[in-house]
Amino acid sequence: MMSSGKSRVKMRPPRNRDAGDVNFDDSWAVLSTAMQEMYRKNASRLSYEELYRTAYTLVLKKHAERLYNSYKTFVAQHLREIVSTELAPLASNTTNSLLTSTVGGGGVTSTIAVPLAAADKREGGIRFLKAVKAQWDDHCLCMRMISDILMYMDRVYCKELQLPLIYDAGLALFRDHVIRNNEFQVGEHIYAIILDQIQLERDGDIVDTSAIKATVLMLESLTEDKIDGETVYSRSFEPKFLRSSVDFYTTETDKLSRECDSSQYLIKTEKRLQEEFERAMSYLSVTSEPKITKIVEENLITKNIVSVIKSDASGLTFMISNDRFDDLKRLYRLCKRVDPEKTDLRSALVARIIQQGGEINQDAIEVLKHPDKSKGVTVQNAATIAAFKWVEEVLGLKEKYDRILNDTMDGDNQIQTSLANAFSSFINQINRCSEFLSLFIDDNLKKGLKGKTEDEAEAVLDHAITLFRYITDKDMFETYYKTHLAKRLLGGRSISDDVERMMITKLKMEVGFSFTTKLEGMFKDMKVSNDIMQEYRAHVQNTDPERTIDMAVSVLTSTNWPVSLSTIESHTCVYPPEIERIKRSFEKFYVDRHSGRVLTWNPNMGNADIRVAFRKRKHELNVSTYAMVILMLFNDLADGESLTFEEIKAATSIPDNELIRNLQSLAVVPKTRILIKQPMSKDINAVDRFSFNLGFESQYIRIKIPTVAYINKTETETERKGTMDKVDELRRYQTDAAIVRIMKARKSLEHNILVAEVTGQLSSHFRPDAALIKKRIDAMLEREYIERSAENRQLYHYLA
Amino acid sequence: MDEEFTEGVTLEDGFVPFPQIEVIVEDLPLESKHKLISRLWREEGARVNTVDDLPSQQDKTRFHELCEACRAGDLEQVDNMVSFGVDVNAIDEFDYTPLILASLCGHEEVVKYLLEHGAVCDRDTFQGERCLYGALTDNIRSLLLKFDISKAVDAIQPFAAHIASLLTKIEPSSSDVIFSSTTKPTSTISTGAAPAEPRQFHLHRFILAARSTYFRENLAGRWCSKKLVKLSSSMDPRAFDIVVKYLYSIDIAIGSMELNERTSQVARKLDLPDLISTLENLKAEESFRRKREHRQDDMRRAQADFERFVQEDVISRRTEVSKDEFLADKERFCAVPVGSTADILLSVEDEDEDMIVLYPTHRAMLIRSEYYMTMFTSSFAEGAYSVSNFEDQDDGTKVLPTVALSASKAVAEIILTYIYTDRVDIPGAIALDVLYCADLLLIDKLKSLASIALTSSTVEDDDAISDPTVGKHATPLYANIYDILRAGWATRMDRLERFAAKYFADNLAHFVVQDDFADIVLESAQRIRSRDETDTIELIDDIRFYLAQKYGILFEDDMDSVTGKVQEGPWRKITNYERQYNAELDLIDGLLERLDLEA
Repeated sequence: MMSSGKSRVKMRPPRNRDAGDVNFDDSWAVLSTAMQEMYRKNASRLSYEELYRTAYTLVLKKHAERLYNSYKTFVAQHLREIVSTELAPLASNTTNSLLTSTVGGGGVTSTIAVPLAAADKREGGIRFLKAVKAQWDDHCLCMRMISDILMYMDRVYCKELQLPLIYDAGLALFRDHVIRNNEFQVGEHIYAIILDQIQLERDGDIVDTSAIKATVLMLESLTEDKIDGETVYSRSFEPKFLRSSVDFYTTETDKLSRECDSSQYLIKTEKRLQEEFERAMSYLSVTSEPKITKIVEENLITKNIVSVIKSDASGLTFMISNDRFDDLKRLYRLCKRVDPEKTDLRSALVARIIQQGGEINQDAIEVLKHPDKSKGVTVQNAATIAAFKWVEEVLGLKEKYDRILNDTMDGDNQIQTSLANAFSSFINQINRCSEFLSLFIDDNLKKGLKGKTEDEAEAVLDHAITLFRYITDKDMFETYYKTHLAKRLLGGRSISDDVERMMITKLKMEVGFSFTTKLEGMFKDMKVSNDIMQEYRAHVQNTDPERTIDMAVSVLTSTNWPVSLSTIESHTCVYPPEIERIKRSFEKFYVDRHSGRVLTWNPNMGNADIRVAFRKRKHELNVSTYAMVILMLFNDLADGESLTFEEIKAATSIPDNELIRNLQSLAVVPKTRILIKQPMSKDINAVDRFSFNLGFESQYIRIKIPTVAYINKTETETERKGTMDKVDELRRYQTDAAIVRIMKARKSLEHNILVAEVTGQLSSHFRPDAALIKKRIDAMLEREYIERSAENRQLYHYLA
Repeated sequence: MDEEFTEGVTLEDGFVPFPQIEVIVEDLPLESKHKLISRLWREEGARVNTVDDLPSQQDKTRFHELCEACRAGDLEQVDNMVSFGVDVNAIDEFDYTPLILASLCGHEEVVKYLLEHGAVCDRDTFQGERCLYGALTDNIRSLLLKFDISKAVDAIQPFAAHIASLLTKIEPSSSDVIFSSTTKPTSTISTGAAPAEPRQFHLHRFILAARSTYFRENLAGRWCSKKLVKLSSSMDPRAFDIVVKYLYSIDIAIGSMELNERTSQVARKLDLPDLISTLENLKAEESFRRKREHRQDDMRRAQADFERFVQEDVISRRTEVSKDEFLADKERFCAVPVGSTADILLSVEDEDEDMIVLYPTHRAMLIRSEYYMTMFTSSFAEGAYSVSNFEDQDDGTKVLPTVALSASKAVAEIILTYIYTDRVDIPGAIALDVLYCADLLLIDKLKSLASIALTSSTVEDDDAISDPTVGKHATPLYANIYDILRAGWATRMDRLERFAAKYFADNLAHFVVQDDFADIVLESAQRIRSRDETDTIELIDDIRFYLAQKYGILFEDDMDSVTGKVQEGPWRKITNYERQYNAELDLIDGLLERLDLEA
C-alpha cells in the first residue's frame, strides 16, 4: 500500500501506444547483427535490455509473424553455411563414398572415389563426428541466447498459435539444414561412420565410444515434427543399425555353427549377447537394446538351437553324460531367453530320459529272460536281482536328472514337470514295475536294511516312495505289496517292526487311508495273535501241563490278507492225531472267546520244529507244516519200508503241487535229504518211492529245511494272470463305486464330464481306460443305479 | 447516566415517597458491541477482525465490496477483492463474514473460492456455527465440513518462498555479506548435544536491514565495508540460524527448550520483539489453524517491513537528474554511498518530464520478474554484474551498474513497490501504463492487479476520465474503452476483454454508431486468422452474452437458434425487456451487415 496517502498522480492522457509503427527492417537489422555476434561468441558485449525491447516492440506492433519467419530463415542460412564451410571438407576423409569436390583451378567439379586406409578411415570418421558435435553444442548455446532475447515472443506469439518455441524451432532447423542437408548428406555420413565403428568393434577392435555417444545423444534430442515420440535417431539411424545387424548376425550364425561345437557355440553366443547389450546401454540408445537383443537371439539362438541340442558329438546327450554342468546352465539360460516354455530343451530332455529309461527296462527284462549263471543268477533269484537292478538304476537316473534340474536349470517348474512326465512314462512302460518295486522294498525289509541307522533306512524308503509316485497302476503295487508283506509277517522275516510301520506311514501320506487300512489290519492281526497266544499258553499251563508239543497260532482276519493265501485248495490236510488234538484244543479255546467266528486252518503258511533221531545223532529240523505231516508218516514205518507218492498223498490229502514241492525239498535238495527217493531224479512222479534216510548227516544240530515256495519267485504266467484278474475285478468294483458316488452327489451329469470325474477320482489308484468306464456305466444303467435322460442321450440322472 | 436517576422524583400529593437509597452505579465505558467482542476474543487468544479493525478506508470499502459480491454470488468480483489482499475472515457490522453470506445465499462456487483462499469455518466459533447452520444447500454444508484447511492457498506464500529461496540460491548469486560463527573449544551446551561447528551464513544486507533495526544501524555503520563479519564466540550458531530463518520468513520449527531460550536472547539483543513472541507461541501446542494464522501474521509483518524498506531506502533515495546532465557524467550519478545495501541501479527515463530517475535497488528482488531473472543469468552484458565487481571509491562511494526501464516515474515506483512487497495500490489513471510495463517485465500477478484497478467500479470520481461521448448513465472509466480492449488483446488479459464487452453491451445504442466501434469489431474479426464464413467474432459473441445478462434472458430455449432473438409465440407473450433485447440484437446485426461480416 502506498503510505503516501492520496498523492495525486498527475493526470494526463494515457500514453498513446499506437503512435507510429516501428520500422521492421531496422529492428530486424539490430537483432540479426546481434545474432551474428552470438554465433561469434561475443554475446557478452550485447545488451540484453536493448535486444529484448526491440523484439518486444516488434511483437507489440503485430510483426511477430514476420519476426518468427525471419528468425527461422536467418538460422537456416547460417547453418547451411556452416555445413559447407566447416563440415563438408571433413566428410571427405571419412568414407570411401563418392563426394563432389573441385579439381584444380579450372573449377571443374568431378567425382572422385578416394579409397583410404582403414586406420585413416577410422580417425577421419571420429573427427567428423566430433566436428558435428561441436557445431551442435554451439548451436544449442546460441539458440538458448536467442530464446532469451525473444522471450516475449515465445510467451505471446508462440503460445497463442501453438507454434514451436524459439529453442525448439532452432533444434528443428538444425535437424533439417544440417543433418538432412540435401547437398552434403551430413546425416548419412554420420550414420555410416557409426555403423563402421560398430563393425570394427564387433570384429574385435577398440573404438572411441565417447564421440559416438555424444552424437547419439544429439540425434536423440532432435525430435520429428509430425510424429510423436520419434527422433532422428529412431527414424533414420536405428533402422539402418538394425538392418546391418541382421546381416552381420546371419553370417555370424552360419560361421559359428560351422566352426564350433555346441559348447563353444553357446559360449560365443552369450558373449555376443553381452557385447550387444553393453554397446546399446553405453553408447547407443537404451531403446535400441531390446531390439538388437532380439535380433541376436533370433539368429544365434532360435535358428540354431535345435541343431545345437541334437548334435551327437557335443549336444545335450553329450553334456548330460559327461556332467557338463556349465554348458547345461548356459544352454538353459539361452533357451529361456527366446522361449519361456523352453519347448526344444524340454522335448530333448524327455526324449533322452525315455531313451535311457527304455534301456534300463530292457536290461531288467534281459536278466529275467536269460539269467546268467556265471553271475550267480538263478531262475529263482533272477526276479529279485532284476528288481534291484532296475530300481537302483532308475533311482540313479532320477538323481542325476534332479541334480541337473537343480544345479543347472534353477529348479525350473516346467522342466520339472517334463522330467516327471518322462520318468512316469518309461517307468510305466515296463509292466513289471509294480512288482519290481515291491520286491525291492521286500528285500530291503527282509535283509537290506539290517544294520542301518534309522535315517539311512528312511532314506532308502524315501527313494522307494519316489518311484512309487510315478507308478500309475498303484493298485497293482498294492496287491504285490500285500502278498510280500504277508509272507514277511508270517515268516517273521521282517527285520524291524518300526521300519515296516514307517513304510506304511509313507504310503499313507502318498495315497491316503484306503490304501493302507488293510496293511495296518495285517499288523494288528499279528499283534492280536501274539496276545492270544500268550493267553493260550497260560490256559494250556492250567489245563494240560503235560503237553509236549508247543504250538503257536497266528489268527488272521481273512479280508485283510491277500486272497491268494486263502484259496480253498490249500486247506486240505490230514494231520497226525497228536497235532489234531492240539488243534482242536485251540479251536475250542478261541471259539469260547469269540463266538460267531469261523477258523480255517492254513497249513501252507506254517512251519514246525521236529526233533529227529538219525543214526549218528539227533537233529532238530525246521520244516514246513506239510513237510512235518509227511515226515510224521514215516514215524510209524519200520526201517527199510518206503512209501509211494500215491500213498503219501492218500494219507495226507495234501494238494499235489504242495506235495511235490515239499517232497522235493525233503528228498531232492542235496544238503537236506531227509528222505531217500527212488529213483534219484529231480522231479517227482507218482510212482516214486520214498524212505527215511537214517544215515543223514550234517554238521549242524539244527537244520532249516526251506521249501522252495518260500522264495518269492516271480509268478508263473498263470499266477500272474490270476493276479491280473483279481486286480481287474477290484478295479471294476472301484469304478462302480466311483460312478455311484459321483452321480449321487451331482444328480445329473453329462457323459463326458462323468468320465472325467471318474478318472479323476480313481487316479490315485490306477488309470482307468475309457472302455472300462463305459462298460461300467452300462452295467450301472442295467442295474438301475442311473438312467439316461429322455431328452438328451448324453445326460444321466441318478436314481435313488 | 447517574444524573438521570438521582434527579428528584416529583411527588403527587398523597403519595408516600420511597425511601431514598443512594445507589452508586459504576461508570462503565460505553463500547460498541464489536469492540466488546474483539476485546473478549483477543483476550481468549482468538483473532477476529471486525470491519473497524481494518487498517485503511480503502480496505474497508473493499471489504464491503467483497460482502456485496458474496451476497450476489459474483465470483469475479470476489476474486478481484481477494486479490487486493482483503482479510476474508473479517466481520461486518451485522456480524457476517463473507463466508456466511455466500453460504446463506447459496453460492457454492463462491464458498469454494473463499475456503480455498483462507476463509475459516470453525465449528467452535460463533461465525463458524452460523455458517454451517445457515448453509442453503446440502452441498455447501458438506463443502464447509469437509474442507481441509491445509489445502487452502496462502496468497502470500510465493512471496515468502522467494525470500526464503535467496538463502540458498546460487544463480544469480546475490549474497553480499558473510556472517561467520566460530567454535568454542569448550562447549557451553549442557546435555549431550554435539558441539557447534563453524558455519558461514551467506546473507543479504538489504534483507537484514529491512527486517531488523539493529542490523540496519550496524550495516550502515561499523560493518559498512566489511565482507565478512565475525559473530561473537558466545553466539550459538544454531540460535543464529533460527534468527536468520525467521528474518528470511522461513517457517521455524520447535527446537529444544535450551535452544529456544538462547534464541530468545539473541532476538532480544537484535531488537526483534515479534520473534520473541513467535518463539513463545511455538511452545504451545496449537491447532493447525492457529499455527497458520500465526504464520500469516509473521509474513504480514515481513511484508510490512519490506513496505517500509522500499519506501525509505529505495524510492526515497532516488536521484533525479536531467537527461543531459546524466549523460555528461554518468559515473558521478551512478555512485552510491558505500553503506548502501543496493547492488544495482534502476534507471527510469521519464519521457514526459525529460528526466532520468535512478533508484538504488537489489538484484535479489528484481529477479522476481522473469525478465530480470533471465537478464541476470544470461550470457549477455548484464549477466556479468556480480557483487565483487564493485570497487569502493576513495570517497566512500561505489559505482553501481544500471539497468534501464522505459516508463514513467509513477509507474516505476509502483512496480518497485510490488516487487518488494507483493502488493500495491494502483491508481486507475496509470493502471494502463502499469499493465503494459508489467507485461513487458513478465510479471503476471501485477498484470492482474493492474487490470483490476483499471476495471474496478470504485472509481474515485475526480480521477476518472469520462468519455464525453458516453451517455451520463455510463460509469466513468480510467481510460478510453477502446484502449482498454486493445490492451486486453495485447496483454492477453481476459478480464479486460470481458469488461469491455460488458461495457459495450451496457451502452450499445451509443457505441454502435461510432466509427471506432466498427473499427474494433473488424479488428476482432481479424484476430482469428483462418475464418470460415460462419465463424464467430469473439467480441460480438461476448457482447451478446452480456446483453442477455443485462435483460435477464436466461433460457436458451426462448432464443431463436439462428437469430438469437427471443421468439414470440402463441404460448407466451413477449415482455418489454425481451423486446428491448431483440432491438439491441438488431442494432448489432445492422452493423455487421454494414461491415459485410457474418457472425
